[in-house]
Parts: sequence; structure tokens; C-alpha cells
Amino acid sequence: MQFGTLFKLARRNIWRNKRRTLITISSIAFAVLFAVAMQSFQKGTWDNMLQSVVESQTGYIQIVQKDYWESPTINKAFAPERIIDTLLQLDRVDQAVGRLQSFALAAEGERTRAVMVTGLDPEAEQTIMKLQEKMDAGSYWDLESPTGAIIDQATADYLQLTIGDTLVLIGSGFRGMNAAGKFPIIGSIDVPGAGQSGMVYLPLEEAQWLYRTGGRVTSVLPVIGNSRGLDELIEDARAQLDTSAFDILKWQEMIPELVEGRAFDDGSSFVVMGILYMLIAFGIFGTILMMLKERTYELGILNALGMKKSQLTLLLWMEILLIGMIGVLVGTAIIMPLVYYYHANPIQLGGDMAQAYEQFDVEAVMMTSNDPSIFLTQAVIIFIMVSLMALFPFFKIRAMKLIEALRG
Amino acid sequence: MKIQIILWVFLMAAIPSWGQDAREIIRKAELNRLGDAATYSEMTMTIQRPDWSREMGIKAWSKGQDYSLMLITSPARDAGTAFLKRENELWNWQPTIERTIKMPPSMMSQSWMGSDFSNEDLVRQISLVEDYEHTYLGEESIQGRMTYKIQLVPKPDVPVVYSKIVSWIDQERYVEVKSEAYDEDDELVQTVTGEEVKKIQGYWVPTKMTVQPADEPDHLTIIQQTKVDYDVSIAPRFFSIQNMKSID
Repeated sequence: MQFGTLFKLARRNIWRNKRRTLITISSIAFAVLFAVAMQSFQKGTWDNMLQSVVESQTGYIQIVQKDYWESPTINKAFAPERIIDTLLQLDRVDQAVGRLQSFALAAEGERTRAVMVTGLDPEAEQTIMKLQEKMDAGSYWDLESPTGAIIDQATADYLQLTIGDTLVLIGSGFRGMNAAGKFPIIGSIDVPGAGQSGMVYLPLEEAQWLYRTGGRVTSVLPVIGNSRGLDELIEDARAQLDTSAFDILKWQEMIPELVEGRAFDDGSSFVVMGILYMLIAFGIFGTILMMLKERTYELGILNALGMKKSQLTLLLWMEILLIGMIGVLVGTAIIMPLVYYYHANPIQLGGDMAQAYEQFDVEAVMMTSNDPSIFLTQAVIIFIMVSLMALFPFFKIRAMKLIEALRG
Repeated sequence: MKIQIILWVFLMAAIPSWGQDAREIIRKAELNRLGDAATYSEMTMTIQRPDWSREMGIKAWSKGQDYSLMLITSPARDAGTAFLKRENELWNWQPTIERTIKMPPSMMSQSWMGSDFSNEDLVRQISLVEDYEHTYLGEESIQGRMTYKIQLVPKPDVPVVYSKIVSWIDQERYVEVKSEAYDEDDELVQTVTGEEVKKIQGYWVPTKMTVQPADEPDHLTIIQQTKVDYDVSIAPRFFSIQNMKSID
């Protein structure tokens, strides 16, 4: 008998008991719906969070002086030229830039606020930190002659400063030197979580002047568009650079608390998914049991008429798989619009939840991921589950005694 | 009986007399350090680290224990930066940002201008004579000269970061040639050495002072006095915030 004919039979068979099929389909659909919603929210939210931290803070790779990341101090600033030259020799790197970061006190009148000062290359950082996309008021630096400070809106509000005002910074510079300077504010950005400490961005040269580091920087970032092949790149960089004096950090190493948080979240959702699919599996198994019981006579007749037992097994497998796949499709169809909606319109969080996010300086939003792999995973899980459970009818049919089956 | 009483009286007098003497030695050394009226000095501070060193030029005016004014003259970027001490307050003038900063108590133990001096060392709000209990520990030879070794323990209510100072005072010149400061766990914090002692206008002055932090053996800060004048007349109003901003 042809495979096509078997499929036709299977298709017709599942609609012979409409109610049971519909119940099975809807239970699978619900599981898929729930699993997709959960995974997609989780993946979307974490992806968004990590992406924005990588973008606004760490970059994908940083080269810093040994142990800088454990105890960041301006005294571990270094001359970047040799590092940059070495990086540029690597295949994937067309450009590498230095950053200078340290703390300072921003002051206006009687008010002061601790701020993180970041000196950066205004032109190159348009593709890394992308401050130009986050401007709230004022404008990005004039690339011809960048000067002045871009600060976060919360700090500006607190210090009661607006565009055009003068920002006063004081702190400890390179080798304990006095670091103090005045900078006109040219723009402000909306940084989430600026409740922790303020953000001040300066052109690299001005930050180097403020902290008196000369041409030194605290980190060097190769400019790479995406995270693909990071490990190879780091491997290559390690081979070229003096790793006794410098650390080459991948973004995961710079934000381990976030990476671990995600792993924990993934782990717990794995457990929830496991339980969910276990329930579904029993539902499907119940359907199989009933089907076999009901159709013993029918299967006996088919066997007697010459259908091989293997064909019967294949037929049942196809029926169950069909039900499963319809369930996956229905569930996906229902949840798809929601996933796309929340991908485009993230949910803004408030209160304690928001604070938990903002301590990492990321926007407190929940959003979905529309990564097709999430939908595909559900289909694969159902497929494997159904295939495993088809073993049961396989043994049942193999053990079937024709006479007994026909007697009913 | 009579003899017994006399002996007793002598004994009683003899025991605290060492304490009295220790205090007197410190008083004389303080007089040498602070002068009778006001002092003016010019100095170079060198901060030495294993892989770099830098220098700063400083002018300083002081009057007694309570008033002093320090002006940074070099490097050019820092020129004009001034520190004013008025009794137990420390003010800082930052010309680049045109701001006067009152240094909070929390900053007192922090490094001064990146050197091995702390802000506390600068302020020294307390009197070595009045606020400490002095104990005479004996004689020792330092740099080939005989010194009195004296332990200074702050009196209970005195706000000071060190729990104990051991000071070596030149027996002839009454100049502190060495001192060790200890923290509350009796761990050595820093050693200050005074060298190149010269007689200036009747006062003995160690013109070279070296600070050596105990936990960083290869760190060093050296202050070399290039000019000292014990004979300047300065009114207390000289030590004002207004003057700190304009002095040069």
C-alpha cells in the first residue's frame, strides 16, 4: 500500500471521532500556546536586556589591562596604539576604538551626584554605543570638532541643568592627579536605571584631558557588527596580544551576573516545560489507548484483509502525529499575533520589577522574541513525543492475535 | 620617719617626672616646627612609585596649630589649586572649575593629591602637646644622633585616625627625625623621616621629609623644603576663603 494512501486513511481516521480529536488537539494547542508564550517572553526579554547592556556598556569584546575588570581604576589606563594595530590585523576587525571610563562627581550649585564618565570616539561609537539613536534633547557631537558633554536626563534633572549649561566634574585622575573640569552640555539621553549613578559621555580627548591620562584609555573595543564567531576572534586576538599584561574579555565575562541570571531563568522554565509536556504526553497516551481499544476489531479486519502489521503501526503513528501537528499549528496560530504584537510593543514594567532591571542600567521592558526556532522547537518536541508513544501501538499490534481481535 | 617621708615625696615626684619630661620634649619640638609667629615655606613634593614619579611645587603659609594655607604652583594644570586649613576645617579651591570645596570628614583618610600624605596629615587638627598622653620610652640613635623615643597616645575623646604615634626627637636640636603612626590594631601605618636638618632663623628644621606607607614598601613621598621663613607677619584674616582664591 502506498504511503499516500496511508496518509489519506490517517487523515480520514482522525475525523471519525471528532470530539476526541478536537479535545486532544486543543490540549496540545494550549500547551504549545503556553510554552511559546513563556519561552518567547523569556527569550525576548533576556535578548533585549543583554543586547542593550552590550550596546550601552560593554561591547562584545574589550581588551583591558590585566585585572582591570575585577578592580577598575583609572590607574590601569594604557596606551592603546599597539593593541589597536594588532587588532586591525585580524580578519574581521576593520576598526578598533579606545574608551576611557572612570567615576567623578558632577556638581551644580549645592547639588552633587556621582556619575560614570565615559570618554569615547564620537564617530566610531555610532556603530557600537549608538548614542545618536538615544538622544533625548540637544544633539549628538559635531563629528568635525566634537566637544562638550552628553549626560543622562535624570542627572540633568537632578542638577537642574539643561542644554547649553555648564557641567562641573571633579574626581581623581590618573595616578592620583587632580581631575576637575567644566564642560558645556550639548545633549541628553534617556538612560534607564540612571537612578543608580549618572552617566556622562565626553569625546575621548576631553575625557583624557579631564583625567590627565595623556593618550591612554581604559579599554579597547574592536568594532564588530554582531556576535557571530566571537570565540574564534578572541582566540586569534589571544594569539597575537600579550596576555600576561592584558585581558581579552568576552561580553559574557563582563556581565556574569546577567548571564547567570539568564541560565537560572532558562533552567526553571525548562522544568515548567517538562511538567507541561508530561501532562500533554499523558493526554495523548490516553487517546492512543482508547483508540486501540475501540478499534481492535477494525485493526483485525484490516490485518485479515492483508494490511501488514507494520503498515498498521505506521498508520496509527501518522494519525497521532497528524493530531499533534495540527495542535502545534493551532497553538502557534493563536499565539503568533500576540508574539508579534509584544515584539513590536514591549510591556513597560513599573515598581519593584522595574528596579530589578534598572540596577543593570537597562530599560525595564518585557518583550517577546519572534525567533522562529521557538515555534520549531515545539513542533520537534511534539514529533519526538508522538514518535516515542507510537512504540506502544507498535508493540500492541505486533502482539495482536488475529482471531481474538476479530472476535472483538 | 622624717627621712622616710622625704624619700616618699621624692619618689612620688620622680615617677610622673618622666611623663612631664616627655611632654616637654614634644612641646619643644612643636615649637621648632611651628615657630613663634607665622611661617612661610616653599617646597617640592615628589611622589615616587616603582614605574613613575611626579613632582609638585607648593607654597605654604602657616600660623600656629590652627591656620595654614597651601598653594600648588606647579605643574601648570594644577597651579592655583589651594588648600586652606582653619582650625578643624579643610577647604579646597579648584580654579579650573571655580569651586570651593569643604573637605568632609569622610575624605580625611584619603590621599592628598595622589601622594602618601592623607588629608588628615594635612589638617592635624589636634595638638601633639595637649591632646596626647606622652610616655618616655628611652634613648635611641637615629642617623648617628641621639634621640628621645617617645610614645604618644591620644586622649580618649580626641578625634584622630592613629591610635599611637612613636616619635624620635633629636636630643640636642629638638627636631622630630622619625615618627611611626599606628592604627587601632597596632599595625604600623606609615613612617615619616626628617632629614637634612638645618638651622634657620634660630629654629632647627628638617628640610627633607619622607613618608613611607607601611603596606606599600616601594611607595614614597618626599617633601624638600627649598625656602623657609620663620619671620613673616601674617594676620589670621590672611587665612580666609577669599584669600585662598586669589593668592599666588
